[in-house]
Amino acid sequence: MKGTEGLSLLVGQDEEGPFLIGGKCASCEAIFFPKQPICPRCTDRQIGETRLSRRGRLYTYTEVHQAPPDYEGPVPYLIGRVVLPEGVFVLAQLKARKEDLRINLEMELLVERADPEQTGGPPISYKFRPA
Amino acid sequence: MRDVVIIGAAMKRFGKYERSIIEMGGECSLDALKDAGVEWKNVDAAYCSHVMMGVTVGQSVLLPLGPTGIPIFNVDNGCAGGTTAMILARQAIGAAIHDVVLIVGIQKMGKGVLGPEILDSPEAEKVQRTMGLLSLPSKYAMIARRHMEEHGTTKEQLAQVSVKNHRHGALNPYSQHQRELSQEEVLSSRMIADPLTLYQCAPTGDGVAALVLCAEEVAARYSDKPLVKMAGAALSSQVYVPDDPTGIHAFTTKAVNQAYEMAGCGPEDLDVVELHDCFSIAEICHYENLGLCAKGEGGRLIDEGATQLNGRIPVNTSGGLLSRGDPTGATGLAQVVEIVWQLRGQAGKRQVPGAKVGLTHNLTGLACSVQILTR
Repeated sequence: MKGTEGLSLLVGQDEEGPFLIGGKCASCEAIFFPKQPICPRCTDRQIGETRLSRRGRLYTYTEVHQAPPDYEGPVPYLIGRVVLPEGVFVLAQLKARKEDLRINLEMELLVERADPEQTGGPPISYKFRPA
Repeated sequence: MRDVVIIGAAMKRFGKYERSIIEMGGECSLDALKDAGVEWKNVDAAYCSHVMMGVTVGQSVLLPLGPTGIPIFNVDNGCAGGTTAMILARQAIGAAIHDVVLIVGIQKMGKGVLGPEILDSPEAEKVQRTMGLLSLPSKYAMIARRHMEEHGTTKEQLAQVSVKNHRHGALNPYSQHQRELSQEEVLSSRMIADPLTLYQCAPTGDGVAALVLCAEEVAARYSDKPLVKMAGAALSSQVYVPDDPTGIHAFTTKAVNQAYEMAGCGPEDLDVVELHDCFSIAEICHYENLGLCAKGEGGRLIDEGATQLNGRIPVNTSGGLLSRGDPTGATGLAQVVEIVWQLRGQAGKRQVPGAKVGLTHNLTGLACSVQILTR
């Protein structure tokens, strides 16, 4: 898979496990993901890094049956938006059975191979699963 | 600022074109000029809307009409390019830089799911693309799932948007799909991104459409048809709203409010609307965003039949993107062509009797354009 070398821009790891790397504006304190050099709320450029919460609630989801061109994993697959306590919406793959998903379900972050059936080294992906 | 009117409108039926899109764009431009009573030599400037159709393609489309040396601008603003070009033309005519302007939209499209067509996206976005997170159907499917949860919208209501628009499109000789679909056919078509099935997604296809705009004060030189005035026109891009993660609601609201204010009217004054139904759920959301109903009531509006041809406020009489088609660079102009025909009383079996005020809402991933047209 192309492009996954950029994953380290999005995901970090500490003693408690993986976390998503958010941006935090020094001026207006807006928190966003992915981190970017300019604050989307106030356009200030003093952006720090923040470890985002590993848990959040499922805001919405879908099962994708026709994948976009750059995706090479199994189809169909689940994706969703998880809203974290910081108010950040994270678009991510979901690791779950479709029938177990419902809006507002508590979800937790994990990092694993984009396609669990695949053997060998990376690429890896960040996902959320029911907590 | 001078008032600007539309005096020429033309399109060819959307679908799969065998012939050169360059030739078809030139022909459609001549059709619009003929409709306007304008000779090419009277045109002061031209705009060509397209999405990545080639280098200086507008000049290639218009060269066969005659090398008159006028400024020709290529405009790429995704599916909103056609009406973006109108905004530019309105500024130039309004400021008395030009009197008469031609706008042509051309598009040839491939098959399959549209993604963000960015040649070299930022690193973080590349990762998201390889994870399969960024297709348009999945974005709208997630909007649908949330709308169903928050407002009780049903999959049958979503399907009814496509049923209605295909019923309208069956009456439109310029529509790509000229056939009606039943709710059962819509719901049982192939799943694209749950809950959106194939017939709830706008088809890919080719298209050309063209308009002639001029200053109101010179219109009588060319046309004796009813004049269609650009009473309100606005273009917006993404705004920061943390609880609207896709942005489609926020930038639609921003553009439509600006257009209503400029035109001095509101949703209650509209007789006919062409809105950007790229997916069934989009139409339901934009009923609410345009103020045709209260927030959360979009599903009920389709159930009541308010937006069908004989309803309180007919929406997408052309068939909309779902039936008429969505060849990106030409889409917005086709919406305007339909409203021009409606306001002139030329919409045939789709005519809304006595229509005087129309609105077009034209969207792309990161921009929204709203036009209010009056006669």
